[in-house]
Amino acid sequence: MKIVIAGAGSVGFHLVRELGAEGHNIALIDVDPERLEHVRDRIDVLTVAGTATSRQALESAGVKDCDMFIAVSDKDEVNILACSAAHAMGVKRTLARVRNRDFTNPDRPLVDWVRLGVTRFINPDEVAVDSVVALVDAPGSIDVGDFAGGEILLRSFRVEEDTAVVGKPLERLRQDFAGVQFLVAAIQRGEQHIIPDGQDRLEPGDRAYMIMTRDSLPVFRRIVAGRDVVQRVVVYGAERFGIAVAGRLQERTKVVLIDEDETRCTRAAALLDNTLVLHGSPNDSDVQGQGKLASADFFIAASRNEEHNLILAMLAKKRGARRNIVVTADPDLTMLLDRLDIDAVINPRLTMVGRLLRFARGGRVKSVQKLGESNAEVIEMVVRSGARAAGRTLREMNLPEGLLVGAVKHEDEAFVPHGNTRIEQGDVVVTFVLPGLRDRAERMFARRGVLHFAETGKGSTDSGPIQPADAADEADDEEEGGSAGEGDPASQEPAEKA
Amino acid sequence: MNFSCVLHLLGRLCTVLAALLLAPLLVCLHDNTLDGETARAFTITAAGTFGLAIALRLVFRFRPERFHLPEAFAIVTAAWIVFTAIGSVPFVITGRIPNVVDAVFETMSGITTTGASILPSPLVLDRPLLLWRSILQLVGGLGIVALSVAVLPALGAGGNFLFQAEAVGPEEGKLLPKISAMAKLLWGLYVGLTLANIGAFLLAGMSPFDSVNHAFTTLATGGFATKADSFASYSPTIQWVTVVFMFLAGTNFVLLLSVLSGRGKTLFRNTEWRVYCGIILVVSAMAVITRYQAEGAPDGFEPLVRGAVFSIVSIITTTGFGTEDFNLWPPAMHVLLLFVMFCGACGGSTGGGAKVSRLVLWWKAIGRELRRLLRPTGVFVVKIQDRTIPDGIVLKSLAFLLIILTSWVATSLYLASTGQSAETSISAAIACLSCVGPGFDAVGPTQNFAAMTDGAKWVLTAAMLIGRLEFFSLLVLLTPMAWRR
Repeated sequence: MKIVIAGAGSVGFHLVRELGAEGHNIALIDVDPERLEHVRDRIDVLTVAGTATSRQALESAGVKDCDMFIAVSDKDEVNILACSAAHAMGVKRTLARVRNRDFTNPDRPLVDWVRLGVTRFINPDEVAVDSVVALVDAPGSIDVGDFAGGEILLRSFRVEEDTAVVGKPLERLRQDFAGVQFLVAAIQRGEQHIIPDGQDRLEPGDRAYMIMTRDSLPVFRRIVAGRDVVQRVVVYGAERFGIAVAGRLQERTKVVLIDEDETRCTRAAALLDNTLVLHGSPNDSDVQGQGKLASADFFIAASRNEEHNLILAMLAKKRGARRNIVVTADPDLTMLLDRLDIDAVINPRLTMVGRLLRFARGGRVKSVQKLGESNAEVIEMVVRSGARAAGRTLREMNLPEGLLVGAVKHEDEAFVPHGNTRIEQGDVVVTFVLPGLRDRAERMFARRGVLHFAETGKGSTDSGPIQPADAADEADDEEEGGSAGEGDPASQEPAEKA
Repeated sequence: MNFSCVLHLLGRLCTVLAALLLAPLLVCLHDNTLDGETARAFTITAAGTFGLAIALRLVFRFRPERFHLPEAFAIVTAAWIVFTAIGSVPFVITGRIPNVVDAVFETMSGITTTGASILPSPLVLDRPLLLWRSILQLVGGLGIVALSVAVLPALGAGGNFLFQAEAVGPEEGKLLPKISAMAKLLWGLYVGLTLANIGAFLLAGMSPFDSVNHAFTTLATGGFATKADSFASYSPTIQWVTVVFMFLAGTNFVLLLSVLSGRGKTLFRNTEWRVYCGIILVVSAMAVITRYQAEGAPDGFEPLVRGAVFSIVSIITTTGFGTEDFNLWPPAMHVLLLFVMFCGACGGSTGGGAKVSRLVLWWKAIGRELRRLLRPTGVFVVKIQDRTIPDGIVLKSLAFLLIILTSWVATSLYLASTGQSAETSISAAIACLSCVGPGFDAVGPTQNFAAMTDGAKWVLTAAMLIGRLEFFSLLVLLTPMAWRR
């Protein structure tokens, strides 16, 4: 796929690196030649110096025949206009990073996105706030991903000693919590990645990845955190991000927002109706007492000062806060996570990159997410008509080891499947795959049984004739897929009849 | 202080006054009394005013670059004083109110829309003078400067200062980019409502002359009536119509404009308006209950409810019409009515008093202080609806509270020292400061201010002016800083 990216900041850089590693051809536009050089020295990419709103820059980047245009500069207006220009030049999919809430408000957007030619916009603040809120909803968890429109959740947690989950075979665990929709989908033990079966056990120190439906969150909280409600959250740093986090959390729990700067406090107090805003340092005993820091379920350090965040988060935990989250722009901090007394790190830029990648990969797969630092992937797919899996139970599919169906959303109901669950066309499946099996997973669920699957492809006859709309949709997808020769419509016809 | 600017603009305002003085002549024309002494009085006064206006405008020059806030405050105060002084001349010349103090009191009471009278009965005045009283109230209702800004050629940004110096309520309500356009819009609404009221009165069976007079004094929340018993002898329909229009006049005009432009929901979401309605409902209910307990309902409930609602709306909007003598109500109601007099109507209306929005503001400021006591490091803001009220405005409103209370105490003290009863003194003071009109006891709805000493009348005249201009515009002139060049 040919992708043009505008903006070579930290988001642009990581995006180029990830997409480049996947073999896409990428052109990068930025006004700053030095930044471009920095990228060019590290990644094989075409760079164009100039503003993303100039014809010259867009044309030299090859926008006219690219498949996707992603604008991630730090200026909303530039991103929107660049996408609009790319759309006018014939690009089908455009992605814009837009920070202004007035633009991105889903109920009352200030601009008409369709007319502007922006396929999709992503608000970096909202994405990062989403992940903080997800962490608070599932205390103790670390990496997070939401699938099937937020109905299916993926949370990971470190297995602590003397919790209910330690040492029991997963089968037993499932019996203990019968009726609760959850599944331990992957275990990271040291350098080893395991896609477990019923006989595997969780050991202290493991990082377990659990997939569940949204309704099962309280049970998850009980398993991991020992109690199922979050009562008090303390946020440090009344800047844009801290205010956004407090604004979202104040609807469901008591929130205290702390900042040393009085002007910022006043502004925050004006914006937040149900948050207690305190002026002072979290190290000040008055502030601690009035904000009841010692009984906080979460301490979220979200100020601009990274070192402060780190130290205050650890101190807060020493003083009695149950868990802490550090918001940082430093990607290396994640590596310190297990060394320091920090439960989770949120990096807004990397979260943003992750979200952009999910949309960018798109195509026949709805979204892909890497599991922590492992290479195991979570792939969300819609089961196509005629796919090999359609109409079969999991047992009948005879899935290879290292490929696991973690959750299914059938019509509006999300659940964790078992061997006798029948997968239907149109279902959303969330699968865990070890490296090398991704292609197979995609063939199984998202593509029609073709060529070497043709001999076993009985599924296609069950699902009946293809509906025209579906077919068009598929053709579109295949076009975007580009290199996948076996998927081209001409070769499908005979396979369909076979 | 640039006196040249002030006097020149005063000249312009006098042109407006001269034109207004000719209006009662229409009644003389209709009544064929153009050769009578009242017509002569108005003609002479108008001519004199016009001469004064020309002289001031020719002698003094207006230089916009010299026109600043102190000048604006001075003009507003001076304008109200000059209008009162000249407006009282016809009363004196005709000999209907021969005493100068009484004439000035009556005029000030008119133009500040107070409605307190030194006349035992309005029938002492003839028809042109009655209309003149009503016109004074009509003009004073929205403010003489607002009128001038609307009708006089643009003053540029200076008009903005002027408008603010006279406007009532803690917030400014500017919907349009140009202040003169805004003034025109407000006057348009005001005149429109007045015409609607005239129509409603006519349909309900009031005579044309009374309809015009009463509509003028209703929308201005003034309270001058053309009959000795105010509204008591009018039909229930007319009384209910009056209640509706008094209520509207007490609503923020900017809010009414937004309702007229199709955003009706803003009215029901508006905190001030909701509290205003709440006070009316609660106090009326209490009046009905206490009076039912005291005397039962011999004529059925409708007269009881009507009497209560009419009086409460009349007082909270600071109109001052009466259908019955609330002086005879139980003592608890006297106390409650004193509070309602103090409270007044919505900001940005023609009503007087402290304004409901300030009451809300004070209440929220108290809440904030209490929360601060519990969480000294906490940062709290005062919010009304979704708007954060800056600390400066909260402080200013608290200063306003202190000034109004000080003025109330001082005025009451003086009145009591002239030999009035405590209840008379306290109620007369707030009735004038809030521009309500009638008080209790010796100044109750069926009484008048004639028996006060001359000194007391002067003090109350000043109280009406200072209350109508919401203290600051006038008091600021007492500071040396305003007079420095």
